[in-house]
Amino acid sequence: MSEHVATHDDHDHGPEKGLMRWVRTTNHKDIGTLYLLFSLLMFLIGGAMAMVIRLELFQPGMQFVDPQFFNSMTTMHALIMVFGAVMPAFVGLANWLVPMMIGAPDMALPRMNNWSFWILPFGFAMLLSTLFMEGGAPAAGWTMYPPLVLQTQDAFPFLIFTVHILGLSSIMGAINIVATILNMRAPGMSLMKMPLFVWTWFITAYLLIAVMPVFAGAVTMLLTDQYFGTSFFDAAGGGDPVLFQHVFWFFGHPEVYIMILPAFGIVSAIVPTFARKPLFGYSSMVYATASIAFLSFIVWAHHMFTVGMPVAGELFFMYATMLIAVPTGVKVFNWVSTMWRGSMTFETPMLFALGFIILFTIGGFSGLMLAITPVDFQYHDTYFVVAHFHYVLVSGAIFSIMAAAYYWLPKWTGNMYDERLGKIHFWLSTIFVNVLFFPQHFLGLAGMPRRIPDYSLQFADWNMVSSIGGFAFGLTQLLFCYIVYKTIKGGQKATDRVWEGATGLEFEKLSSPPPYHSFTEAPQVK
Amino acid sequence: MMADSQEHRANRRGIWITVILLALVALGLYLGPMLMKVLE
Repeated sequence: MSEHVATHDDHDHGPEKGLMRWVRTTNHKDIGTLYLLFSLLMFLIGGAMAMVIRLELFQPGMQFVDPQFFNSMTTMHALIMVFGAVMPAFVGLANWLVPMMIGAPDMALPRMNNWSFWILPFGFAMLLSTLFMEGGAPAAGWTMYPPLVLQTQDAFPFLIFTVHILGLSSIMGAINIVATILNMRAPGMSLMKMPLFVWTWFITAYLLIAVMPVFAGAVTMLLTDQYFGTSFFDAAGGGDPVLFQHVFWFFGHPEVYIMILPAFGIVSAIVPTFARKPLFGYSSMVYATASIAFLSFIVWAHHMFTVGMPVAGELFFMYATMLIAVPTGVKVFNWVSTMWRGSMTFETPMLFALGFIILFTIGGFSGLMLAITPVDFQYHDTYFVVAHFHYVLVSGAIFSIMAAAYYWLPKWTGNMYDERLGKIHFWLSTIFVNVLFFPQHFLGLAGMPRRIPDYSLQFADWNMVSSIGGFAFGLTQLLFCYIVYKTIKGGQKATDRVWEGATGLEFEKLSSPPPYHSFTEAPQVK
Repeated sequence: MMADSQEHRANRRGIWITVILLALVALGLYLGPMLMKVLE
């Protein structure tokens, strides 16, 4: 533009000064940063709870905490990690990246975006406040099965309203993402030209809109059962407690994919960059993601094989669950094929992406074992399940978030991170995550139940190994905090493209760091 | 609000149709199971 006329609606300026910038911001980059920092804080709080759990399990017998508090720790750890750490981290990445990747100036609904974030701290403050209540924090597990959960004392309504707030935040965030992707793509950016990260988030957003309201409805029914005399889940009043499990897992299984589909998108961005080859099988990746999302709605009862159901039901849910291995296998095949004969280098994001592919696949295989109905009767509610979902969520989802942080942090801040420290962080994390979770497979197969503060002597050795891995993995993440802090403060300047093999609008069209308002003029996508 | 140059690009009607439709779907999924059980 040769001439610039300012209007009241013109936002070609930098961010507001002071703390109020962060409270009032409607900028997708600011809100993305808020989400990511909030998620890191929750990761540390949830991690501290995991340390309490591993400390108590270091030796058989009761040493440090009472059983009620131990159960509170497992419950709160899960709720905080799922809803406070992993989900907000992916929403933060979506906020930062989706508009930059599709050539949009911001999210479609920037003020709702601000609200989506700012209700989260209140939700979690409410949940964490229950730790100081006389009856203690919720301790019935993150699955909140009645009638056990109805024994929660004063913390009960706090738990329910926290879930409502988190659900509202997620639904608003998901609607915003769908509205942005459908309506604000740059000219020429057809759906099948979108980066895989945008595609995976597009599908994840639909999953969120489909299942979060169902979860909110289920916990509302718990609330009315507890305080308003209804009997949705109370057998004495004509209700059915197993109905809750069906409704919960109708939400819970897609929830697992909500936490892993964006990770697939991240790995699909990183592997081609460091293999210096285009992604192998782009369209099959899109269809595989959509297939996984569809299948996630018809497998929920594999969490409930031991509850009892007709054999036909068991067979259906077993085969449907196994079917998920097909599109997931397509993805792993495509990542490996992308690397095949590529000019590969192994910077920290690539290392985390490779760690993801290998370790997530281990989690996938143990998932297949759990899908086999007759053997699930053996594994159900044992440490084998704990090992399985931690491989999927820690060395899966969290490794992908680490990969994304290292990959895009130079773009966001304009500074390169310390590669040497990054590699140390990767190797320590990879070694200790396996020391932490691999022995839990053995414990589970030997029959150690989950959610118990004490155990038989035969489980002592592997629990000690697992705890040592846990403490070391926890300490290693402090190094990650230091690396992020150091990168934000300064360091070697990143180029606009950052990585030699990087492609996409955010690397090709924007500076490092990008301007506060990017793509005020739409880029033309060829 | 966005700068003038962006206003042209943002398909406002599309955004609102998307938001209203998805919000209605979410509301239906929230109330649906409860109402079905109550009406049973």
